[in-house]
Amino acid sequence: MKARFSWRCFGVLVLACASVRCQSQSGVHPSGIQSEVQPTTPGSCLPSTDYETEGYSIRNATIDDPWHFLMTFGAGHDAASQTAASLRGRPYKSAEVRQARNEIEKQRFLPAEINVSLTGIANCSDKQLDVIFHIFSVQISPVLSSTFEFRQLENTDPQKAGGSSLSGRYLRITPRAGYDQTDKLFGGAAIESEWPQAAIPVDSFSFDGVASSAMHSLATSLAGHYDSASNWLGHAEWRLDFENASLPTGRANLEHGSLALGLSGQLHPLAGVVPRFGLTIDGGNQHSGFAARDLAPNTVPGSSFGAAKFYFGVTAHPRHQALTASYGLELGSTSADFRQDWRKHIGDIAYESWWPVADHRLFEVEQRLTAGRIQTLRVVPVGEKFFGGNAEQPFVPGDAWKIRSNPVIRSISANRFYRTSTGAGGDRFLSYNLTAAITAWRTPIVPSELTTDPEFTQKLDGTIVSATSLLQVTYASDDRHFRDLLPLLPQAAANLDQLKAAVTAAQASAPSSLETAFDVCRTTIKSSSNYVKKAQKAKPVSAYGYVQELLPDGIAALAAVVSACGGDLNSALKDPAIRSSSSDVDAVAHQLQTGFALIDQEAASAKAAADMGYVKRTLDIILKEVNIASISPVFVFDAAHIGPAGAGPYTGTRYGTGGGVRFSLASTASFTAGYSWNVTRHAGEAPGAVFFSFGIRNLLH
Amino acid sequence: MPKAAAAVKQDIVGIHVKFTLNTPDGLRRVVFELEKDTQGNDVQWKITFQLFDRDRKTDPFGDAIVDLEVDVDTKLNKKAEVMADKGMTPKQAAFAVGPAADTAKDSASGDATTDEAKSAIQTTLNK
Repeated sequence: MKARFSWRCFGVLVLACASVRCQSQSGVHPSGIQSEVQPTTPGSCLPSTDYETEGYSIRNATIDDPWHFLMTFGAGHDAASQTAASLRGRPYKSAEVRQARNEIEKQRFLPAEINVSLTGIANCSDKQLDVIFHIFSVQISPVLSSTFEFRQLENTDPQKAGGSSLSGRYLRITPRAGYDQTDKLFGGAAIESEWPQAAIPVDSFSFDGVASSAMHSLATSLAGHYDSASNWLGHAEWRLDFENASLPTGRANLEHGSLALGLSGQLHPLAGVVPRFGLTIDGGNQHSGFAARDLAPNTVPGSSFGAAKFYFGVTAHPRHQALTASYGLELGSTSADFRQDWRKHIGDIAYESWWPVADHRLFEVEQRLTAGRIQTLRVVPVGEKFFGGNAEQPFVPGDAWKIRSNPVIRSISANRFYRTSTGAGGDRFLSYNLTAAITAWRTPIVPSELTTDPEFTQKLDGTIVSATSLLQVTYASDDRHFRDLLPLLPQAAANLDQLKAAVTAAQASAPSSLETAFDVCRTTIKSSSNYVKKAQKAKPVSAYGYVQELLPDGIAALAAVVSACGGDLNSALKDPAIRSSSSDVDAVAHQLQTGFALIDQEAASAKAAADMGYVKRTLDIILKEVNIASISPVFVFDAAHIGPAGAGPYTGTRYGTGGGVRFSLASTASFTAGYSWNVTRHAGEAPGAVFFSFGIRNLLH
Repeated sequence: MPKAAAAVKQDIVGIHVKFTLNTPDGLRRVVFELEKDTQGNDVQWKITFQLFDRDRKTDPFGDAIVDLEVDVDTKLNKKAEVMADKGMTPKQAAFAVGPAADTAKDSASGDATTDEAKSAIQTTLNK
């Protein structure tokens, strides 16, 4: 299915804009409850004031929640705002404020790894004060946040980038409508559903369909995924896709029906770069309205087909940059015996960079260079050849990893850039696209009152450190030296049992003055035995904590046994069995300690820091750069070549340039519109084309 | 009695930091919460500890098998503050997902007392 630049439901955007404007002008939530944070008077509240005893009353109580805008457009119940509102006008009571905070957290804390809430008192004057509940929840995948596609998510769906929409179960319906010179007026819908993975490893379904008098395009898929924080494979996805499409080219339609099974995976970042790979097996039919005389030799208007697509690449998302480089190879056949009839090679590099030029204002530059080549070994359906224009065609439809596989030039309508010296459809292309934009107006997601509050930033940093520490323990427990010392635990348990038996035997004939020493010895043995047995049963990451407690890194439980039994007790008893058993415990303790010391903590720490580096960076972007809504002027430049080229209308190279405006309404709409002139216009071509990129999200979520 | 402190734009009287630690095998989830409430000069820290366990990754976690609230000994207030500000150290994280979690689980099954469980959880601060 082709990704289209087109009008889609402009009316909804207008409504959404109206809603945002209403909110920003009045400070009133659509529910009718005032819930925006009021401006604070500098330096009006004295720390350590007992506001309850001093008889303050609550002038206003508000919630400061960066994900509040979800409530504006979603179906979320705003009980939290009502709870805050109920405090207004009441005497300040610490217990009531605490209870209100608990209620608000129940509503607004998300099922995320990081949740921070701060209760602030502001505007203390005339024995009145304002209560502000700051709420922040976020969860970011260390693996996925390293990708080029994650940058798109930060811009267009920040609550998803921040993990705030990861409920694990949802149904989302998005209406689609639009107009394009090639496609005509079209309409349709996209449906996405996700549920927790159960016995069958499938956890999402999607359907996307649009149709007009000139075209139709339907795509549906079932997919599953896997994530791991510690295995070599950080993320994997598998999917079953069905597609049926009839796409106009201005002269004849390209028709396509196929079923595809795909698998893709990505590794953990290596020096900031994420390697990834994929494989798709595809089969079906391709037909067209082209006559044989319109086509190059060995090109057929239609046939059944089977194809295997192999693709790999790297992606990186360092600070203020996002890069993806991909190579795809398609081996195709028109016959059931899967002989190679054609080979398609695609190379695609996309690079985005952006610079903050002021608070929550960015200068953004997006560039993309794509090249393709088809080697016809026997025969190739025309639908496999390259058709360019202002619609992008993905190499693997439905995959979140987007590899562009056709020449995109925004000054020519969709699929109308295909004439070559040998016939319809190119067998080679090269295209370059440049988009530059600067934020002219914006509403930040996280207000500066929160991002500049040292208490908030400190607590948030603390939660990141906690997550990093757990990752470090996870990696350390994966270290081979730790795994090697686990087989010593049964020996440690046996030595402790032997010592316990020796101590019990010695006590029968021991003087009563040593009773306390016996008690201390038995207690230390019991404590150590407990740790050893728990460590034996536990998974490595939990066992790590027990082993740590046995050694000087923790409470040195084994050393305490040796000291209490072999030292304090046996210095008086001189019992050879206790001496021997205590020495055995000491020996195994040293073996454990030696193995534990060999764990490469630096490597574990570095891996954890690398994983969380992306999380920190993404949090920073959400806090300092992402906007709920923004408007940016846009400049575009495109150059595209299709071949084989010849003279006259078949020279094959076009340039387009123009400008427009980008409007982003995070979580709801992203809209870029403009006009691009066909600078090197050929006979039969329009002087240019209007380009649109417009998506609506989460309408019913 | 109020201190002779400079007035501030916003006086933070409540802090709640909630870490959710999921083990990579997906079988255990530890929720560790630190809450600070201030009333005048009185500061109270509370630790909430929840443990979720499941046999298979495909099963839902369901209700917490352990749900404990511990009022932090005022002598440990400073350490609680440090943990909220600076996060858990690797030693604290290892203790939280291992011994502290298991002791809390044992208290739910009667193999340890509630006091032992609360003590183990509070011990996390001392690591």
